[in-house]
Amino acid sequence: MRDKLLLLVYILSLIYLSYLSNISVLLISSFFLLLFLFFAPIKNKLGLLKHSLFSFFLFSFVISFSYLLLELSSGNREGIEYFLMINLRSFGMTLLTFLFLRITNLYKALDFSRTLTFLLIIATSNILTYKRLLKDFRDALESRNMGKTTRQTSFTFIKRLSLFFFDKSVYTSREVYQTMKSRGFCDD
Amino acid sequence: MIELKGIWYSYDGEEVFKDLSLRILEGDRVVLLGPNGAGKTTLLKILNGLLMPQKGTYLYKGIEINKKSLKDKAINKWFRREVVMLFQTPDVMLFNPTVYDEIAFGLRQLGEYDEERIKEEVLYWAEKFNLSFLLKRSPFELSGGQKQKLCLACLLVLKPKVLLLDEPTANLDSKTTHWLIELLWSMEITTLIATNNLNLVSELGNKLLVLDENHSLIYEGDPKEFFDDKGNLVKASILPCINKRSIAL
Repeated sequence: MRDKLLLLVYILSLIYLSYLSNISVLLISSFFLLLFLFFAPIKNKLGLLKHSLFSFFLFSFVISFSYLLLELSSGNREGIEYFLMINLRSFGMTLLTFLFLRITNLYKALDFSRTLTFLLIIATSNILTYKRLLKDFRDALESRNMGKTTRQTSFTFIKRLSLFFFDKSVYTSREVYQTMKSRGFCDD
Repeated sequence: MIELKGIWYSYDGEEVFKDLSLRILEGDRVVLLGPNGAGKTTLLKILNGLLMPQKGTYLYKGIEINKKSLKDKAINKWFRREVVMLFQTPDVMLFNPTVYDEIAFGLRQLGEYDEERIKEEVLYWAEKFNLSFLLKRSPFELSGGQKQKLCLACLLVLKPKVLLLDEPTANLDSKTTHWLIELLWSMEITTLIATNNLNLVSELGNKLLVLDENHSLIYEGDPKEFFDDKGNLVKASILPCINKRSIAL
């Protein structure tokens, strides 16, 4: 029950944050989230904060910052406020999600729906497999690399990784689906 | 040639190796045996300089291998050329557009040969591994056995001194397995092969290292002597528990 309640709180907080546009309120929300992180009984708090900041930086800050530069170059100063609002909102939602994932057992939270549990199993299985494979790919490149990685090598490597993981995800999803089906999980 | 002195390695807060020491001499054909999760791959990665122990010393030909020494370009190049590793999943080692480029990758990285010489080497190794007819193909289209052969060709083209192999026979049929065993014995190279295939141990090497499920090195020596005492297999958690009774009887 605890996990289902946390899921409900998470969804409501997410909706609340996505509607907020007042920068002061967004700042206060972020502060409370950080306060919660500080007092919550979880391990590696700094690691969680780092992950949140990195994800926020990569997916929100970098993109919105380039828009801000375009706005500023055309003499529009109003863009700064919008930039702050979007990024504070984005940071809050990211931190909230990482916190939720850390304190909740997702399997228990979603066990009211067979389909959602099924999707979660596929996603988790893929994530764990990919994590291990990605590590092996990087290790193999490091092992074979005898100098500075050239731009060409990096490009070829990233291209290969993308194709490999795309193929792998299609294949793994099919396999997991068949496995679950054979265990009587899917009714169709 | 290779010496680990009091290695401590932990991953995600879990201790894998505690005070592990071992020596491998030049020309040794070492088989690393152990159950799943014993730390065989971790040990190979440490020996390949991919994972760094938190404590202890790793010496290769008397040179300490650690993060700092591998930052030195000359040492890195020398070490990566001399100590190579075949990963358990060949797919992770292949990323070039063609089989030719894949074999040529290491030589191009070395920067010591011109394209003409690189071509000679690639053709020689492709011929040796029966990959000549695949040179223009993408490595990803090959079968499992062909990928394994290609990975080996990519490593051996560098003429390494130490070959680390992680479960090299796991995805091979018996014909290719025996081809691989003959190939390894035909080369003058120090090998360390991780496996959990008991049947192949004596064919793969003449020295045995055994890790148990607690990641401790419980045996170092002649494979025959190890297998003569069936209790050793139970101790190393290699035989299933059900066999403990039959051994006791």
